[in-house]
Amino acid sequence: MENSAVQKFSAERLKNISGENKGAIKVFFAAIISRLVLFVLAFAGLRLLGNSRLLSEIFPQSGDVPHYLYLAEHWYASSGEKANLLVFYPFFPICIAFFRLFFRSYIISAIIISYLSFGIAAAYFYKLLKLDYDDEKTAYGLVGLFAAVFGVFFISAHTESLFLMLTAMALYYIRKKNWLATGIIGFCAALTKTQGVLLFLPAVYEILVDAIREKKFCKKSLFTLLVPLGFLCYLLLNYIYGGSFFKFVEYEAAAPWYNTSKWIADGLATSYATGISHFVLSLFIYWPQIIMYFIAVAAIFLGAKNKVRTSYLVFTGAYVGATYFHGWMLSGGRYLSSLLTLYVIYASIENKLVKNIILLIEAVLCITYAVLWMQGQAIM
Amino acid sequence: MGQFIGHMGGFFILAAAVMIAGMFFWDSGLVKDKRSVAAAGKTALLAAACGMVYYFLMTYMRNIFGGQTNFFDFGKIFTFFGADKLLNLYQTPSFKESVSGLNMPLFIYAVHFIGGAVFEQYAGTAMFLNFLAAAGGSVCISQIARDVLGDKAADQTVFAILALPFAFALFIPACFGIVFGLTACAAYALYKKRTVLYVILTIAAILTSKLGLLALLLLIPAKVPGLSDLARKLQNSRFFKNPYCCLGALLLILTINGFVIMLTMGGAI
Repeated sequence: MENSAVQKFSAERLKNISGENKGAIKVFFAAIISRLVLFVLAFAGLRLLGNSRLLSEIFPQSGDVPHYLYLAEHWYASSGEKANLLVFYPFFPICIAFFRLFFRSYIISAIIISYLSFGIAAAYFYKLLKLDYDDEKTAYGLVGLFAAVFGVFFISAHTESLFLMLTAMALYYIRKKNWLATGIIGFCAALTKTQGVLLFLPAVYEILVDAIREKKFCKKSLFTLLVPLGFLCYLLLNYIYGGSFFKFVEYEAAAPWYNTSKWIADGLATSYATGISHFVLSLFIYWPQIIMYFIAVAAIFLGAKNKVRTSYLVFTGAYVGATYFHGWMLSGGRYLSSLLTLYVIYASIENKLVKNIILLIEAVLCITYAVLWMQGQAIM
Repeated sequence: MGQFIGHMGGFFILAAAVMIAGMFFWDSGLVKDKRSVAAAGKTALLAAACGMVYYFLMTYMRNIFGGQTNFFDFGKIFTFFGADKLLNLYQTPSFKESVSGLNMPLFIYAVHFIGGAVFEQYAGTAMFLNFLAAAGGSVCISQIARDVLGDKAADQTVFAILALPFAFALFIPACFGIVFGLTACAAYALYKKRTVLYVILTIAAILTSKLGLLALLLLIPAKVPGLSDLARKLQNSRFFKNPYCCLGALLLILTINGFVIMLTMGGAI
């Protein structure tokens, strides 16, 4: 009797797992279609506005893309004018170089990585949401991600999609307590973006809470130390190519980035002051990054109210704080668009009307900024 | 306006960090009484919101009377009670000056080191620590009032303290909020019969400001029997049972408080 119950339970569980995987595959394709739709809409918008820029002008030349492509082709340099490219993390260029073996073009490889990563990110995000929420909330979370305000960076050759994928995977494996997978993925994330190392925090939070609750420390959780190790590897790269572990700080402070670490209040005040004196730029850069900052911080409180898992809030807070520790920031909106946990908080909202209004605003801004980005405006 | 937005941004993220730190104790099961934690959270929020209201009022009053600052420039309102001198002292502390007047060196040096570590944000650090201490102190007092007089009285006690004339001083980047917080925590420690903790907190309060000596007065109610009965009798008195009397008293306190803020910001006090 007991045996048959166990068998029934196992069969049901297997069915659930396979159902979940089927759902994840559907989400993967839906995510890629959503990117294609965004691309078509943005391109159509560009042509409707009478702009005749070619795709070969748009994609390889926007923002930091040429730098990533250069690194994929030539790697870091110890001296010369390209030595300052040490400020870019190596994992994305490594992936581009690897995909280039199959696709013969650096830019096409980079874009394929972006599309594929976004699809995988969405699939893992679906699995992550399913751990806590019903179908409807899961769907809202996913659509919220698809309509991300600066979602155009998920179709261009930037690190955003790759980082989003690594975040979704890391958070999922943290929840599943698969510490080895968390460590490896976190290691890659720490080599993708500055914020990648912050994935260590939700892992530590979950480990500490478990250890205190169960009065037992899981030795396998030490694998999560791979996450800070990824950042240490990046520092080592700095030492090898720049002669100092923190050479990137020096390069970032100089032209053309002028980025120094400053307390959030100073960074926001500078953004505001620059926004006031540069009206057009403020619409693309400064107002979105100031508004999105306050939305993100408010989302932390909302998440706490809606009982979103605290480790997600830890990641959100650390990510927002670290991102805005800048003296002169230009890409705050882009960085916050790839903060996955914001979409979890969005999914947790109970009021459908509020959710739909947010979604509508997001979608309109997403398409608008995508068209403007294709136009070559300062969407960074 | 830019400075205001910046400070609000910094303040809210720090508040979120404090909240998340609190949630850790909740999640890990270190705090078991969830109801009292929720009540404490509410009280802390009330105190922080009260501090924000004071800031708006003070800036507005300053603007009306002196026209010395724009509506959102918080920084320039600290030119009373020698608070501006204190801001300089955080940046370049001197032991001799840190023991002058009501000041004592502990808080000044603490702000100097912490503020220096967070990109030289001395005024912001002092302000945030005062908010934190005022909120923490309010929680301690509400816990004592909750135990002795009940849930309703707990909220009323905190509200009455925060509405008192000069209560705005608890939130400015001076040492008043810290002394209040340490003294209230000392009172709670004494109430819970944690004598060693009481002694440590009292010493910390005295090393923060000479006003910290008031923490020694807490020993009086501990030694005088029947004081809590007196408080209970006061709560059950006719005056406090009558809603009009309560509302009148509250309006009177708030009006006096409003005048105090007006006169302070106008430079009359």
